[in-house]
Amino acid sequence: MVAADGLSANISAQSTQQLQAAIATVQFDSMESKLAVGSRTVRLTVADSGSQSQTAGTLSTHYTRHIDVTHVN
Amino acid sequence: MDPLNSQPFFVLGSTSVSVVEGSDNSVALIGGVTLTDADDVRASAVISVIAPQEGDVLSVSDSQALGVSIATDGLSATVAITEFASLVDALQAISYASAANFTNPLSRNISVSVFDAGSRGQLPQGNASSTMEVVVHITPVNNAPVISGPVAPAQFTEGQLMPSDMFSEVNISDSDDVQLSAFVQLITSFPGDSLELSE
Repeated sequence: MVAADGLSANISAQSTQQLQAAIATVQFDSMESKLAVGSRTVRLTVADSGSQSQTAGTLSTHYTRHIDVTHVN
Repeated sequence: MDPLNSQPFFVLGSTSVSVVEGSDNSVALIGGVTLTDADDVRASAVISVIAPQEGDVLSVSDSQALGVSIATDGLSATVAITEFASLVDALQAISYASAANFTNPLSRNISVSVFDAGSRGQLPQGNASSTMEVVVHITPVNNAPVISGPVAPAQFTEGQLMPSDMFSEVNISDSDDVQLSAFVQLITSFPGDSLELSE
C-alpha cells in the first residue's frame, strides 16, 4: 500500500515469491511538466518475521536504486 | 564355572550442552568422563544422534592425533576398542553441529554407549554398559533477508508516458523465513515525484 504522500509504500505477502512479485510493481513517476533537475533515490528494505527460527524479526540491508532523470529540451 | 563379565560403568561430567546453530558452531558433546570396569581396561563406544534432523553432523577432531580409530557417518560415531584413557580422549573429541539454517526442534538427544572388551572375562563379545544421553540445546539465529539486483540507475525521461520500473529485476531471499514484508521509500525526491504500484 502506497502512503498518502506517495513517497513510501508498505508491502506484505504470503510468500517470498509473492512479495518479490509485488515489489516488482513499484514504479517511479513524476507529474511535473518541468521535471526538477537531479537524480532520485529509492530505498527498499525487507523484514522477516523470525517465526521459523523462533526469534525476533530482522531487517535486510538496504537496497538502493538511483533514478537518472533525463530532461527534454 | 562360566566367567562373569562385569559391565563397564561411566559418568559424564555434564549431560547438557548448548550450541548456536550452524556448522561453524560445533560443540564438544562429552567432557569429564569417568570410566571404570571391575574386570576390564579396554572398551569401545557408539555415539548417535537420536531422531536426527537434516544438517545434523557429528564430527571428530583429529582422531589420528588421538591414536584411536573413530568411524563416523555424520550421525553416529564408533570408537574402536581401546584403553580406557584413549577412549575417554576419543569421546571428548566428538562434536555436534546443526544445520546453518536451523529450525525446530530446539534440542537433540545424543546417546552414548560404552561396550567393554570382555577380555578379562574371556567372553567373545563385549558387554554393553547402560546408555547415557547428552541433550544439546540449540540457539537459533534469524538469518536476515537478502536483496540483490541491478546496481545501474533506472531511467526516467521527462514527459514519458509510463512510470519507470525500479525493482522488476530484484531478487529477494531468506534462508530461514518465508513471512516477509517490505518497505519502499523515495528518500531523494522533488515536488511531483511519487511511487506507484502497477496492476
